[in-house]
Amino acid sequence: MAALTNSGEEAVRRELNTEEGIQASSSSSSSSSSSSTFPLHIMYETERCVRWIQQGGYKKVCLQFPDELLCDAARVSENIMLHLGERVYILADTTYSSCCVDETAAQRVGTDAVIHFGSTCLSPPNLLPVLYILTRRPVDVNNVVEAVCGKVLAAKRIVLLADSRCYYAQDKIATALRPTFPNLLTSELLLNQQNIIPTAAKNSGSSGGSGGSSGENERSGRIRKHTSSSREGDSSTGNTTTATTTTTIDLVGRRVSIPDGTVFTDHTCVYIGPDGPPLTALLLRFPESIFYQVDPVSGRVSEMSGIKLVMSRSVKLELARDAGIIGLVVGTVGVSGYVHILARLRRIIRLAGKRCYTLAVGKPNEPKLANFSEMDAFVYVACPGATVVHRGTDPALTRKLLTPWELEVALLPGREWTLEQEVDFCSLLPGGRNHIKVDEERFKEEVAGVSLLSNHLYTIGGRSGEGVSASGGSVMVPSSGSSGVVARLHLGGGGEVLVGRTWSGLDPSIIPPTPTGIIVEGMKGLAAGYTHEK
Amino acid sequence: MVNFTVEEIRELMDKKKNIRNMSVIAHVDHGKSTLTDSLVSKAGIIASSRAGETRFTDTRKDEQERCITIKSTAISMYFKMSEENSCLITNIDQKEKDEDGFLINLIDSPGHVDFSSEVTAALRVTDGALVVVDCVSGVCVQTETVLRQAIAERIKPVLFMNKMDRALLELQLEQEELYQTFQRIVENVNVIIATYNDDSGPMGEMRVDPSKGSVGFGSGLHGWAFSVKEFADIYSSMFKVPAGKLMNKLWGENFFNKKTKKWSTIKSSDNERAFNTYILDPIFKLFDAIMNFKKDETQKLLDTLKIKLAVDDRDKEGKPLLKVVMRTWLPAGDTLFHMITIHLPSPVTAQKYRAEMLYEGPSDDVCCTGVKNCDAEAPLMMYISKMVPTSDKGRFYAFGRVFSGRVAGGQKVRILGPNYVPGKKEDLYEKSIQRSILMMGRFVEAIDDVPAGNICGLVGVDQYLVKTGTITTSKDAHNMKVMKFSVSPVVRVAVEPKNPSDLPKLVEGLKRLSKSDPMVQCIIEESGEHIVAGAGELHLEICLKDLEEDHACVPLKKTDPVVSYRESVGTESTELCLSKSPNKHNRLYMKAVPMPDGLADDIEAGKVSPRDDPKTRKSYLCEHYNFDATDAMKIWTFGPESTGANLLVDVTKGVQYLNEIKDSCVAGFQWATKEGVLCDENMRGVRFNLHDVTLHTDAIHRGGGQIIPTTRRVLYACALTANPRLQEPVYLCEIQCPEAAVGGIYGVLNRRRGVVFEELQVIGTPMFVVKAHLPVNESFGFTADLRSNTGGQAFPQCVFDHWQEMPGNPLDTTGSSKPYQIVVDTRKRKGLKEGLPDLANYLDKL
Repeated sequence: MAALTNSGEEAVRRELNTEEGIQASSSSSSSSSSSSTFPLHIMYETERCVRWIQQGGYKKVCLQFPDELLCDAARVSENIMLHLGERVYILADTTYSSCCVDETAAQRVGTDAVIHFGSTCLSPPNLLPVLYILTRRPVDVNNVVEAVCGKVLAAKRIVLLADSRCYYAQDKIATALRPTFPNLLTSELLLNQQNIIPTAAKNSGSSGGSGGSSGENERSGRIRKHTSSSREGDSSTGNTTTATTTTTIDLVGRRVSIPDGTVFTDHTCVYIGPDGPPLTALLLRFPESIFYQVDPVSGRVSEMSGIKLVMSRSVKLELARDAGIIGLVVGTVGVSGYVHILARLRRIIRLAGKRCYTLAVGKPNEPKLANFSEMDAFVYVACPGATVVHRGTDPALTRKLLTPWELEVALLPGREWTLEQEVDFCSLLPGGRNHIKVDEERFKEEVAGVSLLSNHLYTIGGRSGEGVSASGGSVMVPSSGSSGVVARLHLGGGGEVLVGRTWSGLDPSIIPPTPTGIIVEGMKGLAAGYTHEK
Repeated sequence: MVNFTVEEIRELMDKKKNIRNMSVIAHVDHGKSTLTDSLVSKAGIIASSRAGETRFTDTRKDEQERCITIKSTAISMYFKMSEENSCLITNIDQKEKDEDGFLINLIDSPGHVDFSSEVTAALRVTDGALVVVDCVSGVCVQTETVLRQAIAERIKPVLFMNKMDRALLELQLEQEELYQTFQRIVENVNVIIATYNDDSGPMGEMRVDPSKGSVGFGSGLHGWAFSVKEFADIYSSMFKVPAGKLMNKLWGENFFNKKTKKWSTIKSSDNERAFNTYILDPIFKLFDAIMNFKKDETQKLLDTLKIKLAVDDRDKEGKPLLKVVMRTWLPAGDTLFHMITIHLPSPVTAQKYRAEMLYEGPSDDVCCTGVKNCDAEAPLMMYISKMVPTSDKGRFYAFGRVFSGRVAGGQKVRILGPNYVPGKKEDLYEKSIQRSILMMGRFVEAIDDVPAGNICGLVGVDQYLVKTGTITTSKDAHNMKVMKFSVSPVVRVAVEPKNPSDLPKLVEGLKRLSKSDPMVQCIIEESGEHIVAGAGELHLEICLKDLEEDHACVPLKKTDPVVSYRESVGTESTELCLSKSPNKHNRLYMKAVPMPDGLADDIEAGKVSPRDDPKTRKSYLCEHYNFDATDAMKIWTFGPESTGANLLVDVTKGVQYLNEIKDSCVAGFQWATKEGVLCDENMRGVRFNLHDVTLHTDAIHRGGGQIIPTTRRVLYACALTANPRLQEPVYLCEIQCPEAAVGGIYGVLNRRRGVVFEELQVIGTPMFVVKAHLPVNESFGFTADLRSNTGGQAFPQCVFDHWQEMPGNPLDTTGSSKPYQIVVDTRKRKGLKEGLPDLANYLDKL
C-alpha cells in the first residue's frame, strides 16, 4: 500500500534490518567486503550450482538471495545463466525471514528447484529440492586457532561449531586444533534433510485442523522409518559405523556425534562466527553448556551462556498465561509442518479457554502488531533462526512475541519447563523429539493463578464447561444511534475490546453538530512534505 | 482450660448485637500482643500466670524469636458479662435482651510501620480499635498513622495506657507527674481524633475520655489494668454515690479536701486530685510496700483492698508477688472486656454508618441495605481482607468479614476481584465454598455457617482471589471498596534461584508470596528480573525469608535492595515535538509540561481521579490548579494503568478525525507513562498536551499500528525536551532517643542526605523525637548504622512519605550527576540499551 502513495524514496532509504546490518557494528567485516574478499565463483560456488541444476534436470530454477547479498545477485545469475544457457530467476525480499527457503514465492513462477544463498537456518523445506550455497565470510584461521588455544585451555572436551558461512573453514581449524585438543569434535551441517519430514503434509494439511490427528499419525509413522530414537530422545540416524560407539545429537540444523559415556553438557562449545540467530538458538537449546564465540576475523573470544537468556525469557510464560487473546503470527510458510503447529497451538489455546487469531503479516514489526492492540500476546511461528527476536534488536517487538514451545509450557498441562528451550517447532509435532499429546481431559479442571506481570488472576482451562456463563456467551450492544439496531458480540473476544473503545466508527444516523461547509481544496503532495511546506 | 465451646460461639454469632469486632493497634513495642494475652487468658485459652509472656497471637516462629508481630492474627472469644455491668449498656443496638454472653473477635496487629498493611487489613473487618500507648514513650508516629487510618475507616477507638509498671518502677514518677503524663497522652490522642474526624459526622464524637471509662491504664506484661470505671465501682458502695457520678469526679480537674470533705475544681494547698488520691495512691502504696519488702504493710493493704491470694502465691515476694497481687486485684482481662463491650460498637451499630464507606455501588440497592442493617437474611456480602497460609503448602484461608447474609460450606458464591465491573465477566468467578472456619490464633475450628457481623475464614476460594475481594450471592452486587494502604512497596530486590532449573519453583513461590502478604508486590519485569517489592527493609527481609523457606523452598540469590524511581519533567518542552507515524502519513505534535505542585499527590490520593464526574473535576482543577476550563474538560486519560499521576490533555482546535485516534493515543500514552524514556520507570507528574495532529484521510492508514507507536515516540520526545528529572521516594523518619544520642542521629542523617525538620522532647520524659526526611535509597542499613552511632539507643521508624525531585538533569553527562548515574545503572540492570536515550530516535523533522 505504501507503493501507491509513496514516491518510493522511502524504500530506497530504508535501512535493511538484516543480520549483517545488526552485526556491522560488532564485527569487523561488512557485507560489501565479503564479496570482494572471495571471487564470485568461490563465494557462490557457481560451478556447483550449474552442476546441480544440470544433474537434477531442473528447468526453472530460482536463486534466493538474502538482502545483504542482493548486490551480487545480478552477477551471480548472469554467471550461472552463461554456463547453463537457460534463464534463472532471482528471488529476494522474502516475505518471511531470508534464512528459510521462500517456497511460496518460488512456486509463483513454477520453479522446479531453489538455490538458497547465504545464512540459513537449515529448516527442512516442504516441497522443492533445494541446494544450499552457504557462501563465505572471511575467516582468519590463525587468529581463530590462536584465540581458541589461548582462551579455552581449561576445557577438556570441545565441540567445534561454526556459522554456516564460516563452515568452509571448520575443518582447517579443527586440524589445527587437534594437537592441542585431542578430544575435539566437529559438527556437521545437515544440508540434506529434506526427507526428514516427508511431504505427507500435503494431504493432512488439506483436511484442516479436525482431520489433523489422522494426518499426524500417518506422519509420525513415516518418521519412525527414518529415525530411531536414542538416548535423551534425540533422533539419530541409523549410521551403522558410528552407532556402536557414539551418540548423535541434533542441534539446530547441526549434528554432532559424541562418544558414549559422555553427555553434551560435558563439552565446551566453540562457535566460530558472529553473534546472531544461529548462536542464540544454540544457546537457548543448551543453556547449561559454556559457549565461546570466536570472531572469525579478529579471533576475539567472548564467553557466553544461555542461562541469562533463558531466565529472562521466563517472563514469556506469564505473558501467555495472562493473555486473554493470543495472536498466532505466521512467520514462515516454508518450513514443513507449520500448518500442523498452527493447528496444534490453536487447539491448545482454545482448550485453555483463551481466544486466538491467526495473523499473516509477513515479517512482524511493531506497527503491524500494534494494529491488533486487543491481543495480549503473539506466538511467532517461525524457523529456529528467526523465532527468537533479541530484546536488544527491537525491544518493542520482543515484548509480546513468544515461541510455540513457550506457549505450550505455559498452557499445556504436562509440558514441563526446562532449561533447554525448544526453538524448533518441528520437534513439538508428533514424531518430534519433544512431542507430547494434547490431553483434553486435563484441561477440564480450571486452574487459576496470579499473574506476576499484572498481578491479576488468570485461569487456564475449564471455562468452557461451567463458570460464568450466566450472562450468556454474547452480549447485546445497542448502537449509539436511535435506530434500535442491536449488535451481538461474543464475550471475551475482540468484540468486547471494541465495545470499550470510545470511537466505534461513523454513525450515519447522527446529524453532525456542525453544519457541513463548502468543499475547499486541501493540502497537496506527499505526507512526507506537502507542497505548501516546501 | 478454654471456658467456652465452638457451639456457644456459633450460638452467639446470631445475636449480632452481642458481637464486638475489634483490632488492637499501636506503635511498635507498645505491648499489643502482650496486652492481648490478658484477654486470651481470661477466655481460658492460656493460663493466667503465663499471660504477658506467651504472646499467644504471635503464631510464627520468627515472631516469637524476634519479639515482634509480623502478621495480624485473629481470635474469637466468648465471655459472660455480670448483670450490674450489662445494665451499663443502654443502647438497644449494643446488646440483645436477655443475653449476657459476648463474642469478641479480636485481631492483634503488628506495630512496625513496615507491616502497616496488615493493620489496614485488620481495621477493615473490625468496627472498634483498642489503641495501645506506652505511657513512657507517649504517642508515636505509628500511633498517629494507625489511629488516622482507623478514623478514616470509621473505626471507633478506645485508649489503653500500657507499661504503667515501667512508669512506676523505672521512672519512679510522682503521682501528679504520672497523671500529667496520662493527661497529655489523652490530649494527644484526642487531637489526632479531632483532626481526622468530623464531630458532626455520622459517628458523632469519637474522643476518648477517662471519666467515661473509654481509657484504660495498666500493664499488659503484669496482667493488670483498670479504668476509672473499675475504681468508681469500688468507691460507689463506700461513698453511696452512683458509680456514674463518681467517674466524672475521678478524672480531670477535680480535687478533694479530705478534711472539709469538699470538692473543688481548683487545686489548693489542702486538697488533692481525686485521681491521685483514690486511684494512684493505693497502687503506689501497694508497689512501695511490695517492692520494698514491707511485709506487714503489704498484708494490711491486701486486707483493706480485699485481695485474696491463692495459697501457693502467698510465699512470693518482690516483683512476682506484685504481679500476682495486681493481677488478682485489677485483672486486665476484665477491664479490657468492659471497655470493649461498653465503648466499642456492635456490628449492628457500626455497619449503619460504615455501609456507605464500604460499598461501591448505589447506597439504596439490596446489598447495601443488607450491609446497613447487618441483615443475615439479605444476600451475602463478605469482604476478604487477607489470606492466611494453611498447613497445606500453597493454599490459604480467605479471611474476612461477613457484612450481610450468611456464608456456609458448600454454598455457591460469586467471587469478585478488585477489577470486577458489574455486568462484565472480568475478575468474576462462580465457585463453591468448601468450608467456613473460625480463626482461633494458631488454631482453626470448623463451623457450619457464619451470619452477618462476624469474622471468619473460608476454605476453597483462595485460588480465585489475588489478595482481597468481595464474596457475594447477589448477581447485582458491586464490589466492596478496596483498601487504601498507608505504605507503598518502594523497596525492591531481584531474586533468582541459585540453581537455574529451580526457576519454576521460584515463580510458583512468588505467586504464593504475593497472596500471603497484603502489601508485597511480586513481578517479573520485561527484562526477566524477578522482583519482590516491599514497604521497607524489614518487610522485605521477612518476605524473602518466607519466600525461600516456605513458598519456593529453593535456595535463592538476592540482589541488594534498590528503589524505584519516577521520571518527571522540570519545565515545558523547549519545542513543539513532532513525530511521524511509520508510514509518514500521520503527525502528532505535543508538548510536555510539569504538573502544578500538589496535583500529582492529589491524583495519587484519589482527590482527582479518572472516575470523577468531569464537571466536578474541572471545577476542582480550575480552582486549585488554575487549569483552563476547556482543557480541564478535555483530559483524555490518566496514566499509567489509567489511574496514575500523568495526564494526556487534548488542546487541539478543530482537528478532523481526532476522536478516531483517541483510543490509540491513550494506548500509546499508557505504555509510555508506564515505561518512561529515561530508564523504563513510571512517569509521574507530567502533563502532555496534544497540540495538533495531521492525519491521513484514509482510516486504514491511521490505525492503531500507526498511531500507538507514534504517540509513544512523541511523548518520549516531549519528555526529553522538557528538562527531564528523576524523582526518588523519600521516607518520613521518626527517631526516638535520649538527648545524648541526638548528635549521633544528626551525623548519620547528614551522611545519608537526610533533612531534619523537627526535633522535640517528649514532655515528662528524657526522650527526644527527631523527625526527618530520608531518601529511601539512603535508608538501607540505616537502622543498624543509627544503632551503632548512638550506642543502640535510637530507634527509627520510616514510612514512605512523598516523591522528591532529584536535583540535576539525568541527561547531563558532564558533571557526573547522580540522576545520570542512576539512569545509566538502571538501564544496565534492566538490560536496556546502554547509554542515554537519543532524542533523534523520537523526534522527527518536517
